[in-house]
Amino acid sequence: MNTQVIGYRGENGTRDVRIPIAHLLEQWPDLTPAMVMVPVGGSEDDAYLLSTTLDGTDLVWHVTDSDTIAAGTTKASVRMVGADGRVAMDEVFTVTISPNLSAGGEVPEGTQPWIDMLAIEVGKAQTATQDANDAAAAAGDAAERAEEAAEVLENAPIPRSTSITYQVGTSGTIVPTGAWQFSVPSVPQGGYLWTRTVTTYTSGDPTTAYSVARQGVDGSEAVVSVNGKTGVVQLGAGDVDALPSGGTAADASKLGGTPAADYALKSYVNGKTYADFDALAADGTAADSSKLGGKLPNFYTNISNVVADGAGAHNAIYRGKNIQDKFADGTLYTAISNGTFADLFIGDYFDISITTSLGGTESVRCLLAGFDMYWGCGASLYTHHAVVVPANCFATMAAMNSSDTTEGAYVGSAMYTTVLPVYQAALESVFGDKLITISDLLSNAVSNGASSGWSEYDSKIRLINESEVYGSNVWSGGYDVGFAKTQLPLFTLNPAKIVCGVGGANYASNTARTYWWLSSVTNSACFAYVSYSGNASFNIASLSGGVRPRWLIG
Amino acid sequence: MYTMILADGTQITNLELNGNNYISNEIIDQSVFDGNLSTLTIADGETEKTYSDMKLVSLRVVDNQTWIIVAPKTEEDKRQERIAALEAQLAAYEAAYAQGVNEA
Repeated sequence: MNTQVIGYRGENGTRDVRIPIAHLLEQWPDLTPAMVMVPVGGSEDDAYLLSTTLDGTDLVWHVTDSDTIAAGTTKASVRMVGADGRVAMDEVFTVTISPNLSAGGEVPEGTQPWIDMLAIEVGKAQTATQDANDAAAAAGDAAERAEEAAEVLENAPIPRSTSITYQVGTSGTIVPTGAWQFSVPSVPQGGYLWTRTVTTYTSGDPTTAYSVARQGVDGSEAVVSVNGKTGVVQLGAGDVDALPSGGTAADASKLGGTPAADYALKSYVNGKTYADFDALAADGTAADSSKLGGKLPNFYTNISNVVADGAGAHNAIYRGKNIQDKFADGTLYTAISNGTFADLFIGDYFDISITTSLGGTESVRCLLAGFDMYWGCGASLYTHHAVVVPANCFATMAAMNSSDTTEGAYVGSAMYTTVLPVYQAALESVFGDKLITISDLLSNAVSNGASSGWSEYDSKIRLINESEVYGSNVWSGGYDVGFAKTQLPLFTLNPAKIVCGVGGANYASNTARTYWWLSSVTNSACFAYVSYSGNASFNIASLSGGVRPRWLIG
Repeated sequence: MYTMILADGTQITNLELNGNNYISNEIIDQSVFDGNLSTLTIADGETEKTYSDMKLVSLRVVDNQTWIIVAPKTEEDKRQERIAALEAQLAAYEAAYAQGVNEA
């Protein structure tokens, strides 16, 4: 192949040139065929890669407008190229692009009549002339303004000198009339420093300007606010005059002006003087409750009543106070019946006198042993009550039974059937209808040496059981508990009260202590009792022991 | 009101219950219950419940009323009964032996 005509100048994508390269493929089967061509009019260094595809053993050249951009004769060649950079070349051959016409020019306009063309040109000339005239006028105006500005600038005054002087004045708005001085004068507190500035120009009158500043004044009174804000002002000891022994401040104003002459600040409490406060009475009652601002009319009462109303709270505090007055005036029952137990606490006591066929007339100190201990027990016991236990046993000792048997348990005992009814009658004489009847669950049968049965019985007085003294059974059984199921607060809060004597208010020595019967059955022959030292014990039913029952009031 | 039906069918009626005491307004002798509590039915007018091996715990006459307490026998109760029965049997054997010796 020496010469290859590839078409006319400008052809694109319409001709393919097939070049057989079987000999090259056979010789270099692992290389890739390609073609390069030098552009018409270019040098060999301008050779570029042609668009080709391999079809069998022919290399097909797809001629584009890049290849036919210029008519003429040039050179091309086939080469085999490897990925590893190996190149095998074939012979160079001539390529011819035939010349042809291209349609790259503009379409020429049509020819107008000469007279129309002349008119158009004349119009253009007139417009151009007007524009030139307008431009000339504008230029003239600008020139005039420039001349005027130049004249103004030429005649404008220029500052030539400045003089600054000072004077002290008494007003911040009226210019002082004294002598102005060039150095800054000393200004007294409250005075005004005037500063005068005089400027002289190259022409025209000079100008004068003033500025004013006021000298501050030392404070003479307490600062109550700063910038409208109030706050706590901390004063030191040196800020306040010492008060003389007479109680009068040297300068009452140092105390804020009031009190004027009375150091007794204590006299000023909420505007009232010391004389306005009555001494509190021994019982804590102010003579005039209004002196206490109308509040707390009875300090003692209110201080005493620091716990909540009700049995729960009052069962928790032992006081042991004499409340004879409450028993005497009946307020004792008021506090009980309303359920508040106000001013009643465990251990509080009052004394009564009873007369019986057993011990004659004797004094009995009644201790408050518990509140509402049997609330809800039995046949609807919903009456507020206080449990009373005598401080000591009744003056006369007694046996549970005439023989050593517990047959019939507590209800079957002689203590229950013959002794306690005597004391019940005496207590009814003292307390009347304030002695409460409850339906109590009492043991009434014994089997194999232990209580084996119980029933409810109307009861105003009864022996205490082991649970009420010790908080649980010790020697007895379940049928001995019944509704008396809880240790009495008297013995919880003050166990010393478990030990007691016979008769009277207190026992004075060990020889005055006694053992006292309980309602609990311990075996077929014995009942439980509290021993001399307060410990739980038991003994034969025929033994004479202390009688220390409990009863309810309310 | 409660009714007791003993093992032999004896009925004790109009009993009032207080605690665990059945109270009758009649005087009832203890012998009614002797050996008659192998079964005991107690009815409250609506329901009945039958118990076995019961014992008379207490019977008291108070103010023309009879107060009755019954309860199940404990194991100790039953053991004591067996012991008592064996002792009685042994005593019978001894008596028979003594008589045989005398006759000889």
